[in-house]
Amino acid sequence: MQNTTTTSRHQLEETWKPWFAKHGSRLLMFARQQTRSEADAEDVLQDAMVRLWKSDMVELISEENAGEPSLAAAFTQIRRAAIDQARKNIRRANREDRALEMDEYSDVVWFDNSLELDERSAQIETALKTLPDYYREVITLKIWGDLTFEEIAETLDIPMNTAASRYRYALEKLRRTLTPAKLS
Amino acid sequence: MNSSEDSNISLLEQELASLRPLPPNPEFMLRLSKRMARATGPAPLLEENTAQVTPFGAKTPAKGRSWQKLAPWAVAASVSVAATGGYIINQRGKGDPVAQQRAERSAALNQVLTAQREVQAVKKEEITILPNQDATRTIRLQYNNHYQVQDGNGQQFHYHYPTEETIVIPMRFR
Repeated sequence: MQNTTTTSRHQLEETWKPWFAKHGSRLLMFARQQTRSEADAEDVLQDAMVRLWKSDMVELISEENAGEPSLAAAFTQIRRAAIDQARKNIRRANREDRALEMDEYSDVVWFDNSLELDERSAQIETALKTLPDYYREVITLKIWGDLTFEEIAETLDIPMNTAASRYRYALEKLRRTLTPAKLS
Repeated sequence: MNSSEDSNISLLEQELASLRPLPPNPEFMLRLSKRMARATGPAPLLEENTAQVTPFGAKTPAKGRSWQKLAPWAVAASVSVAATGGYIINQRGKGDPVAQQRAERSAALNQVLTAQREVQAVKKEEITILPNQDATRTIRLQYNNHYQVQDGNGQQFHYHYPTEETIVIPMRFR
């Protein structure tokens, strides 16, 4: 029994790094959208990773999941950690009465702008930031999280049809924001 | 939605998918590695106490619990209670009756020989200045706690355990 636990822990130590190298960027992007600053996003992602790896070791290393946690579970943990942090921030805000709060997401960059697409990606990022949270979450999980609508529904705790319709509405809203000429 | 709009939507999907999310920076990875090592690694006492005395002084874990799964904060709480004569410093252990009970058991069986705390790093510092109000300075400190402990069998072991604390200091303008 003890040997099994030791082996499991050893496996867990070995598995998180390659898994995170593969999915870290998209997880951090989701965390950035759930928080107000880069520092908060990093804290939330770290909390979520620790929670995920401590949540249920048996499931994490099961053959069913190919020895890895599912991405949907990771996004769920990020969302929960962000909610916890938001509650803490509210308490802190009450204490400090923050009057100079900057615009939401103003200092957080979501995309790698080192590409030639600098200007265009900045436009898309701005358009995404103006979307309501419930649209943006679905777009992010679908496009960059590679989740199915069923997994998105599970992650956000909403019906699957709602997830699908929010995705369609969000795309339509983005299309209207970004001028058609720029889509070509 | 007409076919032209469908086509635009499809193009937009492709364009969105071509954008790469900004990856985590190296400093983030370093911090995460440390946290994951603490979270997935063995309990602190495992490495240094080969007699397998649990953090709470018992020879075997309670039924249904593996001592390897004990939360590190519970260990810290147990030592804190011994070091301070009945007061749990660790915030996460504070007010938890189970942690309190375990800590008291530990205090009876384990004797803390030395307890030392040093500031290892200032992780974040923010100064918030609001118009017509006093400013606040928020500092997040990372401590390294060193403990030299002797258990009921007379065995001595040493371990160190990092903790973090956020302090808010009010500032007045002159």
